Amino acid sequence: MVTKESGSSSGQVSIDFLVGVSLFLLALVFLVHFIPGVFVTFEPEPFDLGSVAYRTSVILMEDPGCWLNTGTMRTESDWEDHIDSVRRVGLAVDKNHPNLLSLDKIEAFADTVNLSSSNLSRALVLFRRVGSNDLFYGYNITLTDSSGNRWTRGDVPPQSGNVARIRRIGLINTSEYGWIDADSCLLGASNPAKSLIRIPNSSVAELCSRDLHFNLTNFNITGPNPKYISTKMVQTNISNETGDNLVDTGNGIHIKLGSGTKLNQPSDGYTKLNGVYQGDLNTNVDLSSSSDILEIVINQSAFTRAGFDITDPVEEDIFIEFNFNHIDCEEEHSPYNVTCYNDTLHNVHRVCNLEVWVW
Amino acid sequence: MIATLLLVMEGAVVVTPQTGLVLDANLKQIGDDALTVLDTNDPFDGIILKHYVAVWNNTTTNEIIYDTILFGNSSGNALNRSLSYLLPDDVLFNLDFIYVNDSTTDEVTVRRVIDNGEPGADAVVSRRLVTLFANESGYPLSAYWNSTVFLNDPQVVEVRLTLWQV
Repeated sequence: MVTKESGSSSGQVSIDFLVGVSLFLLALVFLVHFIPGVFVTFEPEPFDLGSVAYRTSVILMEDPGCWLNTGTMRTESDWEDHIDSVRRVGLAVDKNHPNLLSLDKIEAFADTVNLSSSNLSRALVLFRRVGSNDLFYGYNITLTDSSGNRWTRGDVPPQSGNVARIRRIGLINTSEYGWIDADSCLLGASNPAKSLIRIPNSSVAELCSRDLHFNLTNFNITGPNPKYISTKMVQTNISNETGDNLVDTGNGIHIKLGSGTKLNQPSDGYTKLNGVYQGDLNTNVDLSSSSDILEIVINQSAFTRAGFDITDPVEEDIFIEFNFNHIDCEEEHSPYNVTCYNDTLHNVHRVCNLEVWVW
Repeated sequence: MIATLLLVMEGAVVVTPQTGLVLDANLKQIGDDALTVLDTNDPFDGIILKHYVAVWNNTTTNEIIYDTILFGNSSGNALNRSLSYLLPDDVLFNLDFIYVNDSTTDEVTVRRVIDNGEPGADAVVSRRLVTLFANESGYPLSAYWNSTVFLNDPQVVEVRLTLWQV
């Protein structure tokens, strides 16, 4: 007799079990699919920090910033003179010159006394609004230029965690310096070379209220041991010259012996050759190449020491005399034809790097 | 079972930080900034990019030589030195001038002006346009450009800077 086997040992799954397991698996799949989505909104956003850093760099490098003039109810870009009302901190000279930064704006940006960290964060939009609260980003903004100057705001970047960084390149518009092509603009007396630079009386008050920078290059070397020797200056009524303080001995005009003030004090100024400091204005500077750049700086205090009248209205011109050895200086016999400092002025730009860290 | 596996994998959230693209964007921005700085409109203490282009005489690579004051010096390739000064030390670059050689045939010419090797796989490109006019004042055109730039037909040159990190 053949015995029919019972269901428990038939090797077949009951329909009830199949339905139950299927329902269980469906529920499990649903949970696995649904639960991660619940936490997505709480995921950290590393990409957002990069955007914030980029936006901050754009505001600083490409925008001049603005402040709200409550009198006219209009925004204006000279926020560095109205820090209390600043709305946006930008460092660019103006909208038409991105990557060209204003030194005045940079110094106002670095002023931790007048521009607090919280105001700076708001002015650079370094925060994120979550509900009704503002969450501020940590940041470090550092600007360095090719002369080694450094301006920084913010905290030290953390060593770990999500940190975004961006670097930008720009130019700092520092100030106006005189650039003199020695080959064509050194006028005065030759043999020995005494070149004169004139500051007209109408410009004395403005120009002599600050240090004067002269950059001379393109030298025409006429013999061995070419060098800069010294600087002298005199204030005189040009209509009386040559005669009172300027003399023409036949090879061109120069400051008369016994007239003027020789800039031989350390406080009067200094020289640099190709960016390297050489000493005060009474120290010889050897020139080796026609393309050497000789920077001569006359400190503002030298005009005071010399007893010059530099307060408006000024009646008399100032003549500055550079003495050289074996550098060609074209003979000039009329003081009115001497190179004017005003005509040599050019903006000087320094390359700078901006780094923005955001966390 | 396969359907279950498929649904589970689709449901999982995988966060992939795009740090590679961020680095590329940063490098491109640096290249754009370098060309912008070179093109800043002050010809005395920094050489305008246009002037570099104007004095190029269609010679072989590394032949742009110009007396500079703050950028580079009077010997060697001044444009190469200027860009090397601006860009980070770990960045190499090539520079090309791209222009239409003959306006009648619209033939586009690409000339390698600075060649520092084969760009890496992660190289990025920055571009800036320079327009040369026949009656330029202050930017004397080289003999080559004088033969291609006409009074009523200015020459537009694309300066293409290819950068990569080493």
